[in-house]
Amino acid sequence: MGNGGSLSGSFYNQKDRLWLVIWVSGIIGLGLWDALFLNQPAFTLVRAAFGNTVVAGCLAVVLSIGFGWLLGVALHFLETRRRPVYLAVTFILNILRSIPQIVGILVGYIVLTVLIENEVLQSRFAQLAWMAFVISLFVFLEVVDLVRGRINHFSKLDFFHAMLCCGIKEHRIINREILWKNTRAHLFQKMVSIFGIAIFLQCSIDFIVSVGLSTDVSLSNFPVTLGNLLSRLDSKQDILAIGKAFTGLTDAQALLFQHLQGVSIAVLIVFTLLCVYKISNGLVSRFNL
Amino acid sequence: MSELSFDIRIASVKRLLVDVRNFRLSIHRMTVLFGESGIGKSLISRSIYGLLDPGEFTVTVDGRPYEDYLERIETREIRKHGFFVFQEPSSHLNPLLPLGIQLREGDLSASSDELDLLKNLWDKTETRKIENLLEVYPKPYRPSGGEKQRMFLAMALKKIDLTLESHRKESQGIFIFDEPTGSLDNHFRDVFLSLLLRRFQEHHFTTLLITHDYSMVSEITGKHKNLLDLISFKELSLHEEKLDLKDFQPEVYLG
Repeated sequence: MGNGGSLSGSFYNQKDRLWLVIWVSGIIGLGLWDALFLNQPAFTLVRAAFGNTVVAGCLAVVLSIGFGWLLGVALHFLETRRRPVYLAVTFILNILRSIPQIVGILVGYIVLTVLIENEVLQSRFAQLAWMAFVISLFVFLEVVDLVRGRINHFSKLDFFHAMLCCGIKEHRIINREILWKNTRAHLFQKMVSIFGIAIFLQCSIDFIVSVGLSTDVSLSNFPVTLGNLLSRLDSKQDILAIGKAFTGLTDAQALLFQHLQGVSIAVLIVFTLLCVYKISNGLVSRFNL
Repeated sequence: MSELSFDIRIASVKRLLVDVRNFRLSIHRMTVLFGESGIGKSLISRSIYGLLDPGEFTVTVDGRPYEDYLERIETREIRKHGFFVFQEPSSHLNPLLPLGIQLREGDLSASSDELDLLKNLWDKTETRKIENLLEVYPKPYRPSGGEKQRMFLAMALKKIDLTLESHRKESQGIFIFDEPTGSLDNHFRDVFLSLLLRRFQEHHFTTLLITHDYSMVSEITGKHKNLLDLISFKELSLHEEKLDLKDFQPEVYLG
């Protein structure tokens, strides 16, 4: 009993794990509820939208970490060896940094539309990969900053110089000793937070694109995601029904059975963002980042 | 060229830290450098070895920016074929690697046979204890400061063996020992000195040994008389805000 109590206590203290379990349980619970009470075509759409959104989010995370790691290390070497090139690259990155993420990603979606219309990007996965690529372009600078900060911190420590004296190559010290061994927790926390940012940006942009563009361009051509599914008329009616739920018990009950598509999507987005935020914060406190 | 000469100027944002002209190191000889603490011996030796961060200090060597010095072929040779033993062993060991692995990293990986060397440095310690030590991840409290320092000295001696095996006399590397015996008692200090000087007798590699332990003079002049022609004793002192490198006469010091 005591052991069980301490186990649950330590689990409760590890907020990241707790919220991961809450998130997975919540998604499974919602899936079961939808399987029981949501009509089959809508349920299929919601599942596909959630799957596509998560896949695009994960791809954005992988690309951001890859770009960020590579560029962070490259900037370190450029700064110490090729200063003019370093200044030029930093200037370009600062321009990229100055573009609002939403605006930049919207431009990326315009390019995606052109590519789809010209039949360059045909498969759904390629389109999702493009979305993830565009999102990562405007998010990966966070990883660059993290990588550079860690390299700067460790390169001032004595063991860095000692390893150089032993003839260990600088790129190996940076990639293996500093980034892999001493920055994994930071990068993992960053991955979680980028996943949340990617989901948020993707849902926002998909919603804006779906509402703002003409119907012959948007909904039928882009892979279904939580954002563009939310912008559909039936989903919007479901969302409007949430307001009515405050006026009477019958309307509140109807929310759980008759307006499930829109409510499920809204819950998936908000619940996922909340859990990702909590997981990220939990990692910060668990690893003292 | 039998001597390397450096004009070194190092400044932080707030003040001038080191300004030394004509700092000389004899090639294929050992320079034993004395000087009071805090005078700038470590900074000078680090700058020669190419270890200073140009972003942290304003450094010029021979009137040129430090970046130029780092790009010189000679500087690369100094680092490639030399070694630097740091004054503070605790912070210079990688806490995420066992000591045994660190002894076989980078250039030191060319040989994995360091047990005899360690036995010499640990003098009379059981082999099993040394082997156990090699599995330890360095922590602030373990191994002891002396053991960490001896581990660094083992790395340096191993690098000397490996470098001299392949490059012999043409090696342009510099072996810098910055207060290498600060954490050792006199017995282990003498053990290290005899191991170093035995190798030096065989190959005459360029060495800079920095210390403020003046009792080392009597140890070297007493037990290694045959090498005195190859050893220069110098003393760094502050004179009117500038560092002055003077010859140090052991016989005068010892009376």
